[in-house]
Amino acid sequence: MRFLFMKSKVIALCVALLAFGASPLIARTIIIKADALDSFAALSETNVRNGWATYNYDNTRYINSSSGGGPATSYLLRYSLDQIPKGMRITRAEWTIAHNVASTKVNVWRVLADWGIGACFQYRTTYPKQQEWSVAGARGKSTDRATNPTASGQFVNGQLLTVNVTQDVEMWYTGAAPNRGWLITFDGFALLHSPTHGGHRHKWQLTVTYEPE
Amino acid sequence: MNRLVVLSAVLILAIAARAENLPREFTITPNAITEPPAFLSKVVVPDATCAAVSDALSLLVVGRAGKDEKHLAVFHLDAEGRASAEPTWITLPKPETLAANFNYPLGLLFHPKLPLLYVWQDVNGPPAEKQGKHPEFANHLEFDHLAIYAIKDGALELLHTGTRGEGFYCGVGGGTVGLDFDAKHLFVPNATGDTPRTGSVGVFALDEDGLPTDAPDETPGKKPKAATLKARVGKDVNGKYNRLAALPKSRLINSYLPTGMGWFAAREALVMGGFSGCLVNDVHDGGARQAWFHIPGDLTGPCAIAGHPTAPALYICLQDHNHFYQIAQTDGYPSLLPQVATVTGAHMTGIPVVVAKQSCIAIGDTKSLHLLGLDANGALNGKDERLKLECGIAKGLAYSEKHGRLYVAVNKND
Repeated sequence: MRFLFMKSKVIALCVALLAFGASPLIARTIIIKADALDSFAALSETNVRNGWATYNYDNTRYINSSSGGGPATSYLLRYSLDQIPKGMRITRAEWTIAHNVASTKVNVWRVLADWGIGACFQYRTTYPKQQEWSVAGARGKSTDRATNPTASGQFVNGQLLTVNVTQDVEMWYTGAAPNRGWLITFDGFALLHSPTHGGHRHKWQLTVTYEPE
Repeated sequence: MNRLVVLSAVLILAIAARAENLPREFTITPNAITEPPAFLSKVVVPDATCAAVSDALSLLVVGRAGKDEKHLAVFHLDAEGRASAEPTWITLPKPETLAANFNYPLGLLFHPKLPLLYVWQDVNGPPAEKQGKHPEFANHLEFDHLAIYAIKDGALELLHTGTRGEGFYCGVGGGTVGLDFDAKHLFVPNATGDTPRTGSVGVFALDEDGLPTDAPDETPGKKPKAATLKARVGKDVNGKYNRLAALPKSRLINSYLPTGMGWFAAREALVMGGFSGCLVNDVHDGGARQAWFHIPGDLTGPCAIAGHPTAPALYICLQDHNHFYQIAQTDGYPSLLPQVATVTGAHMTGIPVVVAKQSCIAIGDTKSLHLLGLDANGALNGKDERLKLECGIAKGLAYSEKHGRLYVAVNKND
């Protein structure tokens, strides 16, 4: 009796080990949330040196849970992809851009130029030295940002916009291009939910599906 | 034995790796220490509220909230930076009508080039809704929040008092004075806002002697000609005092009190601590422009700030809380996203002090002091040493760059 009990435990353990070992063979989908954002900057024509993105441009100064974008104000965002295990192949990546009140066209651009501390409309970095964008506001096509948008979409009030960013995530993950994040630009006024404040930040999601190579 | 050595090595490597690869948001468990580090010098000043050190004048001044009216303790420093055993005591001025009220210093600041000490003081008063024009506030209208002392032969001599009236709150628990990058303007805290409990800041243009001057009123609807941070400053009162008028409405912060919880002056902008974040004043099209920087997350409360003297880093301490933030900054503009440190069991309070040579930042707590570790770029490295002290809340902190010494006021020696 005791032998049978031991045997069943061993079998259960083997099954569990097999299941654990086989798990990487199956495609997985993960949601990379706003807390994986490692850089965030605002590029505003009206405030060319101030790149702090959680200042709510052109909105009431009391409210900091929304970020105002528009033709003169765009945003840089970069996610850490550390949550994706090594040795995988990216099969799909979708990015949900959480907007509040907006009905404008939005473009998502892969950023080419290196940017960092001090990133703002005028400069892509100001430390350790000042380096300007090739065109202010990261508008230089094929230099500051990719020649064509990765994705485009239309904000519709009451709906979240999700765009396909598979190619960019794959390039960054494989190292074919450095991960310098995305630039989002707007044709008209766009009030975004902040990815760092308030109760809507969870709506910013980068959904990545991968499988073993 | 061998196993123990290997295990220790693995543990050390793991800790080192963690410090280098910290996530943006992380938790720190303080390492309790009983012996103060060699760079820390204690001075006995009970109930300290603030401190400032001048390397040029070899002086350490500690402010305290004492009902015996000993408000400022002035210590002379020797060539090694050691403080004199007994301080000289200074009593801050207040009008006769408030003789029974309790006044106390909140902030001290030495002028970087002139032998001057700026002192911001407060006095207990009626609740905020009974201030301003309220009859109960009448006696407080002559209370001067700002006192400026000249330092002559190592002694403090009262040179100027001012900043009074209904435009400033009384009875506030925090706030200090700050100078801009060229020390041409003096910023003061806790000016009134639109409604009770909302606040603003005031600014004086300084003359070549470092004293407040009258600046010309701005003409409404007209852009100022010069790119300066001038604001409206009232006429002389009694020919002796200057009174600072509340700023124009467009420049009100409209944040809760206190305002001016630490100032950091950089080449292009001036950063101020305040409610739930910091405020940046920059110059734009000839006028001062303010941008409010709310701390990420959904926490609110008064915040004190400090800037690193050489690294591109700004520090924000949410008061009486376990959250501490580091944000990159250049030229006074905060940048990117902050590190968010949650320090286990902490109730950090007061204005942080950067201990630059020892790569850490000091911040007070109840009966203790935290020394948060920094890396070469001024970022938090995930380490904290917590030292027990004989004091209430360790607020009397000042750092001497010249001597590499952190002065900490305690109630009594161990």
